[in-house]
Amino acid sequence: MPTLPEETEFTSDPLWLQSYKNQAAALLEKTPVPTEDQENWRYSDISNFRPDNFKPASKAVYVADTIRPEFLPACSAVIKLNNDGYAEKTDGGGKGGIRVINLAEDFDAENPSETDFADPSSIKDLVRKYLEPSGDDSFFELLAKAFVKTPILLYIPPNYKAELPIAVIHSLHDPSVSGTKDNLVSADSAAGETYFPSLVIFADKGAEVKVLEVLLSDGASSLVVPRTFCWVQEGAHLAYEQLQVLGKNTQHYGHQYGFVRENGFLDSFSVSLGARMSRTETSSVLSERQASSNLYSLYFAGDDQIKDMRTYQDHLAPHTKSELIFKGAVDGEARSVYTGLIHMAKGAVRSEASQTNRNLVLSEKASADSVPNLSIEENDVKCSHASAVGPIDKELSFYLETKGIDPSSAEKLITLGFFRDLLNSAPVTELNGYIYNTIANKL
Amino acid sequence: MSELQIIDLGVETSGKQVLSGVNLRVKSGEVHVLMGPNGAGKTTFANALFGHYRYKVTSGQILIDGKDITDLSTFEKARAGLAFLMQEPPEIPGVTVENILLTALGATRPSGNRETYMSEKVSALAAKLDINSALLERGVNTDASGGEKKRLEALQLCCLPPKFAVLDELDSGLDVDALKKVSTAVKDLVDAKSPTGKAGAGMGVIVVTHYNRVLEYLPADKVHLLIDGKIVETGDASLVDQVEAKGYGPWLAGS
Ligand SMILES: Nc1ncnc2c1ncn2[C@@H]1O[C@H](COP(=O)(O)OP(=O)(O)OP(=O)(O)O)[C@@H](O)[C@H]1O
Ligand SMILES: [Mg+2]
Repeated sequence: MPTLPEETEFTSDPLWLQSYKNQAAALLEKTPVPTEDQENWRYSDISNFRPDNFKPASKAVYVADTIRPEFLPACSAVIKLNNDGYAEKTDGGGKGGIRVINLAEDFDAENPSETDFADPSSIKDLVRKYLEPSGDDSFFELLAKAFVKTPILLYIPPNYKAELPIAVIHSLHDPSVSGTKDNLVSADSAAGETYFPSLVIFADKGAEVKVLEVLLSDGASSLVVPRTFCWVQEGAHLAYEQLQVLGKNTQHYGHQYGFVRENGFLDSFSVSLGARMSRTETSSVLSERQASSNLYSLYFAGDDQIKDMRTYQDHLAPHTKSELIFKGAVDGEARSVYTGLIHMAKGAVRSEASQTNRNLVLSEKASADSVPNLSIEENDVKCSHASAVGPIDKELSFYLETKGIDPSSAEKLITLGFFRDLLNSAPVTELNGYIYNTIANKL
Repeated sequence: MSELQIIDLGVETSGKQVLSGVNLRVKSGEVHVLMGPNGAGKTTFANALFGHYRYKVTSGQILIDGKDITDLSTFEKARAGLAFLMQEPPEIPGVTVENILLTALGATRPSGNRETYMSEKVSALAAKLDINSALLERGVNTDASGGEKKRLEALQLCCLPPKFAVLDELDSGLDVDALKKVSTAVKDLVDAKSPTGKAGAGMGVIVVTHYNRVLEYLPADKVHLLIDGKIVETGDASLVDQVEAKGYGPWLAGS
């Protein structure tokens, strides 16, 4: 049984949230910590995971100044969060009326305000779907639901359009670590802190926005369990990019949920570079006609990093369309596993889904697995999947070497090239330079 | 003035001796033609020269200006002054021609405003060689036609001219106009003068070809016939006409 220390502050939560949290805590008591014997955990390095090795986040100082993401592009609004909740919020001068709401403080779950939201009942649905625990929740989902601290609702009003992205930055700092940013001293025996970054994005009818979420920390042995929910209303177009650059000793169990209604489009792009153990569960539920989603992801693991990527494309309605491309590279002694499932429900006629996973294995000791799956209950659909795992083609390195390029630079070029086409379709391409550099420095 | 010397080269691949006793001596500004039937070993010769991992040099030496480069690794050979235009260059997704050139240039020229220098040079050459700019934005050679690949390779050659180049079937895939443009560009490198204005300082080339067409623009100083892994005859440009007229029959019989 997980025995996270008492969190006294929770009594300040509104009653509806307290009730969800209590339910989650009760379910958690009955849910064993995952082990590698379980089929859907067998690739993860979960055997050393001890929940009691972690403690709640302390009221650490705001650290965005020491680990400021100087690579941030121009944004229409920036929301910064640290261990303790809000750090800073700029809404770009209030233009257009996007709203940033701390659900634990200024939100009435029973009667969401008519003045705040065009469609209060959908908001109510969303918040319940997002925070109410259920018997199907995994251990980490329950953990996050039981201990969530500052669940942020980013509300995009109907027909709101903005070219510049809205940035949500979780800047986490563990005060138990010392040393400089690049050379952190953090005893593995010391209890790491726990963070539950929580973000719900609601893109109302006809809105067209880009949201960038950054997960950033300073290398401590923390546990970070983020949950992001992208809800796309009728005809809305939500481009979501997540950049995970958590510190190197972090354990990260992330969740990205997509829910898309009629004619809506979720364009999701996730870059996973940080953390020692990192598992990301990405799903998109296409719930109504003509809903569509792109789920793209790039992951890189070096040293002893582990990436465990799980995806779920769920087609529930006719004429829905999803495309998934996950590309990864492993170096050093790193491991990665991709497991993906396409589900076509009965009645999802004329729907199309594709799933592609490609992996580059850059060293002898690194390994990658790819496990695509289909579950089709409807005949009138199109599904395709492709997966590949392999080393760099020697003919390509030879070719580059004949141009006077040394083998390690050739490997860098080929690896970055492997990611380039995908990165060119990222919602926030201004970040690509930073992403290339981060990968190049790991190679 | 530089000299590339190949002495008694023997090469094996997949347990099979493909080349033996190959001797060749190319000076700056010279054009050597290597001809021979399919499967004679021309591409093997080029690959072995560059230390391709599937080809093993079983005897002999490769020298540039007297310095033995036989056992250098591929990129060191390139840096010593050798360039290779492949018969079938591979496609590399996401790695543009400019990425390659900048990385290669970085190895030799560490400072200065390389990006601007290179992108100006690339655009100028693309115009000269009639290369569609879309090809330069994609990964090198990806989804390019045979002739487009050859043009892209020629562009790279012109951007970073080496002392010596092996052009394996430069002409294959090129249309009549492209052949003229590409081979003229190569000829310019061959005729290049030294910074102090001296002639004979240009690139030395070994052109592998099956036809005399390319030689209209790139006149041969010497022609070598490679049959069954051996150079059986060396002569002047008239040798090409003999091959065109009679085929390889007369030499095959004699070998
Ligand atoms: N990697 C290899 N493994 C096995 N056999 C090879 C390999 N490379 C070349 N060969 C063989 O060696 C011989 C010479 O091949 P090579 O490609 O050098 O011929 P070529 O003269 O370039 O022919 P072409 O005019 O058709 O290009 C051929 O019989 C070929 O099948
Ligand atoms: Mg050949």
